[in-house]
Amino acid sequence: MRRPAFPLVRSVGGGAVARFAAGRPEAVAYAVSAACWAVLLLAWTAPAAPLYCIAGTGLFSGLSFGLRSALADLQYSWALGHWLLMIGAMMVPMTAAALRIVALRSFRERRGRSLGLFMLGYVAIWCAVAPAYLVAALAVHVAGGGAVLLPLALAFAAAAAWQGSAAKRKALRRCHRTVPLPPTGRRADLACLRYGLDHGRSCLASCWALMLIPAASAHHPAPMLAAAAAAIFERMGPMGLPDRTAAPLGAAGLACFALWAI
Amino acid sequence: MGVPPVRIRKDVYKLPAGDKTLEWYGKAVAEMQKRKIKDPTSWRYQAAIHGYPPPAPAPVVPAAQLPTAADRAKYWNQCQHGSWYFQPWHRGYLIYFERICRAAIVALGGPASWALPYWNYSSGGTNPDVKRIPPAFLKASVGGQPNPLFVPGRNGGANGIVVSNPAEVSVACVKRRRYTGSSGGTPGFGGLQTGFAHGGSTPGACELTPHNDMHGAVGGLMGGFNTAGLDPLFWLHHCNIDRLWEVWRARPSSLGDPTSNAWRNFAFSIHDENGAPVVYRPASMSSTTANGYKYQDISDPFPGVSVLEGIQEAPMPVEPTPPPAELAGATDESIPLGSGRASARVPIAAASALESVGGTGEGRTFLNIENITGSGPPGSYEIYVNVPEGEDPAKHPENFVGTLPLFGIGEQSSEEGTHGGSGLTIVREITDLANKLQSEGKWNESDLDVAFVPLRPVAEGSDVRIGRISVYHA
Repeated sequence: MRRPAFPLVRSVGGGAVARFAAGRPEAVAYAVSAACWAVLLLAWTAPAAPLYCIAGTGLFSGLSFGLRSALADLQYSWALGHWLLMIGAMMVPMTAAALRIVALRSFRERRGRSLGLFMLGYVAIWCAVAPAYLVAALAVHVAGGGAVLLPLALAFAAAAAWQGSAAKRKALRRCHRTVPLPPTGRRADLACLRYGLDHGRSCLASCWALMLIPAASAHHPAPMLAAAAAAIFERMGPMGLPDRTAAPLGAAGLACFALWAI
Repeated sequence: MGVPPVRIRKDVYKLPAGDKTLEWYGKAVAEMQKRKIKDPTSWRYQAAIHGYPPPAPAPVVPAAQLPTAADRAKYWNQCQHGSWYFQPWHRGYLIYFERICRAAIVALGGPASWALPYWNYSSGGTNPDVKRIPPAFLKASVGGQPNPLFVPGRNGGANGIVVSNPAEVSVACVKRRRYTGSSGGTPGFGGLQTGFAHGGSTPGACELTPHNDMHGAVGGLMGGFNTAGLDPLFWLHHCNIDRLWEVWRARPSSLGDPTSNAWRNFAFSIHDENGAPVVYRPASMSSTTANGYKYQDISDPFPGVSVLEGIQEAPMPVEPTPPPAELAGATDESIPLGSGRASARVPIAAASALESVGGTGEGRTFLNIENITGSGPPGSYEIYVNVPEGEDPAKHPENFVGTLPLFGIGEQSSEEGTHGGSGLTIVREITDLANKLQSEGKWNESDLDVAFVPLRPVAEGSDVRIGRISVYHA
């Protein structure tokens, strides 16, 4: 008798949920994203939530007064936990097609393991660049004296310029890449991990500029949602057609600039 | 807006003596070839809609002569392959190409009733010659003038004999009940659900055979996405593929076109005969007569034959989209294909072997050839399973699975493709073969031996490689 691919789902939700999970294994990406968005939005509406207190007082307690002051001004810190939440909310949905490939090209019995290894590789790439984003965000924040609109305008402008570039289109095409996966053993594990790393690199190369937007906006939910919407639209929209995200992103940048200038 | 007059697309091998359909087609082609590539009604622009640029040694067109980058991005490289949009996209492409040809013909004093003919290479019961390239396309010159319907480099030489195996022109695809399918299992008649897919992954049954097979069989310009539209024969080939969609829809077993908005309302951009931009959607492609044409013959090639004979399909009732198939076994290394026989052993998992043919689900078994990559002219191979060791597969037709046509492999292996160089994945159903071998005691529960034999000479330097071979149960 076959072992279920998702034993926990089987025990909690019964056969119907398990059948859904088996038919739509990529749904896990949307579930993770929804959960991360929920936590982020909840935290935004409750600024005193422990998540941010830990980051602002513990992790960065040894920093200079200036930096601590800057951090205190940030609505959200760049603690790894928060970064992971942001990646989970904004970037994990981008893996849906690849997750489906990984799941359906794996034996049912090892589907969870394959997906886990893929996600490990994918998230590792985003964690590796977290320090660079932290430094950049702090630098922008300190240079701007805590103002958000000008850095945000610049981030939108950078994203608009990148979205319309040929290099961006090439990176985006790589995000749709599939690979053959050995079925069993260490070779299978390594292939899933490598696919996750490769997919993470492609996503990073494609979306790095969009991720400047939440960084520059002190992680206000509205710009974060705008960046996520642009990423999802281009990933799931008509491939091969001219980019349609640069113009609205550029317009958003102009609006921010105008608000700052007033 | 009134209903357009309905013109008849005729079988090129059944045109009556003295018929001028091909003569006028040649004149239209010559006229379109005179137009600049910037002109959406020009020959080269029309071919570029399918794919651009042609590979070397084709001359590079200076950028100043090309349409703007925005225009190219919107209207070129639009062909849909490995996708459920394959049929409706190509139908719209044919409709507007035909209008452009007709406008040129009328301007030259020809008939307004002109329509593209189709090449039905599969109707060879009474006339085996139909598998040959139609004679009007074979001569380099006619009456001392260059023949616009001729292009050099096709297979078949002066006789136009291009089909090496009758399986290349099989129309068993019309026996499929579903339009779309699922990953690992049946891709359906029309292909898997995708987004915009210029060089997608897994072709539907009709796209694979006879469509991909005949692209490879004719070869030359027809062998690649970026050159296919430059061969005047391409348009007759695609009319036949479009006709098979009508044949499939007319069969009692057909479950019909997808009803999903994702399929019906996807917008494709193109130009009409006046060079004006237009948008068409799959929903508006469902009727040929509403688009001003119909085919001379859409009779059922398998009259009275149940879908359960030949290609296996689930009995009624059946979901329009089946659940994904389950992996039963796969190779763990890539397999190079060259000019000789290549083979691979696919280990089958014990648990899956117990649930093999006749088990749960629809009791179907599929052979997946995944992530096939390579450059250069596409070859074609025959696929066999479980040929006794040391024996010639050609002497075991009972072990023949089908063909492995590699049309578009170059474009689909390129990082410039929409799937970043993933290559081609094809699916062949082996349920009947597995049942037969099982009943004869020749089915090994622990592994499957798969062999590939070139259908025709493979180009020197071929670098085709299969990423993985897998077996799925559904």
